[in-house]
Amino acid sequence: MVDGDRDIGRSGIMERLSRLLQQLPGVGPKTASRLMLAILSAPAEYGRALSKTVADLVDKVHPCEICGMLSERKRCTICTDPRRDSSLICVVERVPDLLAIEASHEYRGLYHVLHGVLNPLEGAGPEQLRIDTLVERLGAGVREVILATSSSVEGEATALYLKKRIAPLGITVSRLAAGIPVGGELEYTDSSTIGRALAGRKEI
Amino acid sequence: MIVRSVRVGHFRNLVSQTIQLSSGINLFVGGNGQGKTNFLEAIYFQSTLRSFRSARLRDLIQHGSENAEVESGVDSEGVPIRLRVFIDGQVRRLWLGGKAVRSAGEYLGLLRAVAFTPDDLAMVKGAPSLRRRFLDRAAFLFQASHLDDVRDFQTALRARNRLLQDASGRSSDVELESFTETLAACGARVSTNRSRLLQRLESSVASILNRISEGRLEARIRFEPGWRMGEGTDLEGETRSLACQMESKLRRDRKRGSTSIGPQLDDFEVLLSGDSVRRLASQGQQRAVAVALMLSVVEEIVSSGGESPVILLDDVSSELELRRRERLFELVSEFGSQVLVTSTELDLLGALADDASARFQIESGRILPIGG
Repeated sequence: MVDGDRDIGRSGIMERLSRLLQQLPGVGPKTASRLMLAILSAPAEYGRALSKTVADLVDKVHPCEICGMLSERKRCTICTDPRRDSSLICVVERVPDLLAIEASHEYRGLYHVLHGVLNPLEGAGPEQLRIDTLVERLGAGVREVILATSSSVEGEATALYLKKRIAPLGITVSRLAAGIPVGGELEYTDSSTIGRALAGRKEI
Repeated sequence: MIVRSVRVGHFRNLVSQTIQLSSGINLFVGGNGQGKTNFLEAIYFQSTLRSFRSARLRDLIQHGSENAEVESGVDSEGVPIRLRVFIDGQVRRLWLGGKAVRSAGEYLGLLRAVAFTPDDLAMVKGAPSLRRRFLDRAAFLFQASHLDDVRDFQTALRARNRLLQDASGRSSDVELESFTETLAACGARVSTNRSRLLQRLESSVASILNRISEGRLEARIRFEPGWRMGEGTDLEGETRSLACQMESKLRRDRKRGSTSIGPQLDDFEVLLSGDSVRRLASQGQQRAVAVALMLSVVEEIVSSGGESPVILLDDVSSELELRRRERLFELVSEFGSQVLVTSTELDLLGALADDASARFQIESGRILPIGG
């Protein structure tokens, strides 16, 4: 019984791992114990490789010093790619937004990741975001800045803020269009989106 | 829309049970605190995913229970559907038939209900927040996006107020300006929706008022926005105008630490033959105007070809004179609406008690049919 208590007790290794896993998004107690048992039933090498890779991830992956994208090097592969159009910078809130735009293969410019949005209610002001580093980048050769923050209140306010900071530098500022998804049926589109798409309609 | 049956489980004080309703007038009689309002609240919650008492989700769960649910069989546009809401702590889960519904947007509108409580009866004379609540609930019935507009507006208002309160001056003017413009864009949408709603309701209110009150009175509604709105200007123009008006009050706003103009102060006034109902009319007339406002929403929906929403009348009969009460019920049956009415005593309902197609007694959360 004493050993049994230790196995399931608060200080036990399994309990500790379970609690660590549960801090990840989408992981509750059941998923945590499934993951833990899967690690245990795989060859020991798997678990060791996993643990070493997690340690490497934390020690060696950092935001790119230019754009904020995560990278093993000081400068990420996008910022150092000579084929990309360095006169265009697309500003996104977070890394997943950047990955989503990359997946479209439509954009060949550079990025800037803010790592958040202006949110006075949560104490996030311009100095908490990577805005000064963005403004520093705008010196030579940048022609256009595309604002791709979300259409939430905070995302809109952040876009307006950036426009006010950037436009005086004589650089074109554009905002990602909001509207009906491609291949989307009007009938299934929610009314707020339709309203915005109508307000932002274009002459053809 | 007709609610055929309602099953409640661990909802407030209600005993878990299934109630079969009539498509006409349903009466619920019981003493105070027995659960009449809770039952109407359950149906309102099924419809709007909110309580008309502006309660927190967990207040709806019975003491000693972990979760609550409401499930209804509904005739919606002639099609029988089954709606279910399950409240688990802070989380709410939705089903349509056997299928889980992921977004509230897909769910809202499947069952439309309007609630009328003693608070609403006081709306003409009471605090402006009661009138804004009426406007927002009604606007939502015609334009589902109004709820998003109100929510965004409130978020932007809180954000701007926080920046105004920042005494350290840490927040830059550019940041404040950005939130002011965002707030203006949301605010112009909210006030415009409200103003259009009142224009739409005005003639119905007048005709209903003449039917429930004696005499011919000319009724007009005047929207009183909490800022200077242009007439017939487009949304972009209104947004720019509201932003300018907020900028011009900046010094005052910084001093008081909050935004002094905008839709948070919107209001409206009903005028009878040119006189303010709020200031001059009797209490009985004020209540009649409140009833006319609510019924005008139903009439507008019905006359534009929509199906009448289910009408929930909570304890309004004790607050209205017998004559007006009877006219109210006559009108409601003209719309062909399903109605659920609560009262402390059967006698208060007058002739309605005889017209009712189903009668129930509520005692300690248990609902029992009375008579045939």
